[in-house]
Amino acid sequence: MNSDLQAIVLTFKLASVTMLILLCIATPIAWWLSQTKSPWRNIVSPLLTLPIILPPTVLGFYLLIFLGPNGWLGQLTTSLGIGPLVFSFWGLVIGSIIYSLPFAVQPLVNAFKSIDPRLFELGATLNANSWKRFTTIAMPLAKPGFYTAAILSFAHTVGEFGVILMIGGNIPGETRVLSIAIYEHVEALEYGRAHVLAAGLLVFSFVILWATQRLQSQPQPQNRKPGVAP
Amino acid sequence: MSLDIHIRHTKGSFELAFEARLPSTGITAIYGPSGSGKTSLLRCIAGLELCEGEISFNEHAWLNKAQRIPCEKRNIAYLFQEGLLFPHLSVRENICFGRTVDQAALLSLSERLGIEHRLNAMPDTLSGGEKQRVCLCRALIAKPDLILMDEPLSALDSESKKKLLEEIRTLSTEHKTPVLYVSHAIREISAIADHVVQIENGALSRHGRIDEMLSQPKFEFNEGDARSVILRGKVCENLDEWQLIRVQLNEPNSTPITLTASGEQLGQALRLQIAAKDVSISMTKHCEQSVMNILPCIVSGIHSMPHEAHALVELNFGSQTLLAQITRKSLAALGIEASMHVWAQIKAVAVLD
Repeated sequence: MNSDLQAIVLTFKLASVTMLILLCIATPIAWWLSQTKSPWRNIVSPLLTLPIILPPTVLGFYLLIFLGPNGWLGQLTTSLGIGPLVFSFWGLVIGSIIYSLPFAVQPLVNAFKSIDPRLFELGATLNANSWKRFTTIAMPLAKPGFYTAAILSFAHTVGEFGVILMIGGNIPGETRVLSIAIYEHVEALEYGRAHVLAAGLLVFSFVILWATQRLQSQPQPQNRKPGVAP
Repeated sequence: MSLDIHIRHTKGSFELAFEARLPSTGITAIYGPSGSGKTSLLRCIAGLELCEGEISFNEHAWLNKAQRIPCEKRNIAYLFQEGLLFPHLSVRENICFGRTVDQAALLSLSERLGIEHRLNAMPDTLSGGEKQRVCLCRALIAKPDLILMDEPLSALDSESKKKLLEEIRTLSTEHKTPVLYVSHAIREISAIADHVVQIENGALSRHGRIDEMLSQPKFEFNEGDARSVILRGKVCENLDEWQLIRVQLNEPNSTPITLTASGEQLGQALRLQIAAKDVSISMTKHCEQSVMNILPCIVSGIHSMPHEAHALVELNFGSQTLLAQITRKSLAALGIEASMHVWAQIKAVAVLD
């Protein structure tokens, strides 16, 4: 049972670290995507959505190559004295960030886009520069989007399996997360132990989705664009 | 002291090519039909829209070949349509956004505008009129060099409109802050503006003092706006017995105009608005009739009107101009021609302030 507890702790550690890093990365990307008119957005946007439809094994396979001792990132980390990141916790973090990126970016893009753009102009006429407009207008008005992005990227990382199997393997305390533990129990025909973990995840996932729905149905300040521009 | 504009701005198939030197004092109205480029012009001046050319305000370059001062550094205030407020901030936070505000000044100004009891309210609980008052308060408290207003009263009913127009006029005069006021309604403009800029198809059509502009028959009125002129004068007599006042126009030796009294003081300066359709013409001075204001005039021009049944007759008394809208049938029946001596009968006069 101790090994299962270890898997639970590791899973939540991985999901929390991934979520925090993702919020930092996804915020500027989402802000740029929501405001830019650059033609680059037509390439960047689908590229960032790719992990949603790509089989996790494909993503895992390329990560294995990049992070491995012969991959460029693996060589870089080796030369820095860290060693190749495959089959390590931080390798899983990198994999999870890419795997869950769209789940952090998309809610933020939607939240930023739904803000009436005239509010930013109003900010400018009140002497607020672009950084101030972002922190005092865009961030607070996009708060529900931040909650959704945090919850979804956390939950999606908890549910990760294929990528981890490819790049993490099954090292207790390092890469053996919940989904791997369940898989292992089933392989060993320990259905009782698999049941405990699987049912736990089921309840957890339901609670997460319920919470997200509650957040989205909350009355929000009227920051929506007017239907018809007069 | 002026606002010099020489800009070019294109958006899709619309092109704004505007060049003018506007006064940087008092209230200047930008008037024109919908789609003529009024709002684009205002946005270019604010720096919210990219444009080429030059803009300078009181010799201070906002835009030229070498540099473009961004909106947030132009020290302007902008009133958007329908009172735009930050929905996540309270009224007080909205007014104080981005600056430290003297709370005593905030309290006295908000009392003047009648919003002092709403300072802690959230914007979605305010009425349209209250929202625009909060915006006006926010604009004035910032002590901007110029206030730009884009049809700020379009969402309000006529009663609140009238009150706010008066407040904008008094407060901008007191604070000595110039205002550019975009509107397509001549009623708003005549009540508020000192100057008017007419814009058509993205280009300056004409500009000047409002009373001079309105009395020009060539000044194009928007569809639905009643043609009128503005005359200035002083109260010269109180007819208390009849609840009437007499106003001597700023034209020596002209007949005073009689109006219904509404608390005006002797000697008070007034601006009067007279609609062209309230002026009729007769060839002799009929004294036995109910119209009180009958002025001797000289016909100085006859102009066509959008509706072919009507003609616009330009009448002069001294240096002042009156416009009369009469049917072309009457025009022919009376044989009215330029330089004829006629009597103008004024059926109604509106007091602007």
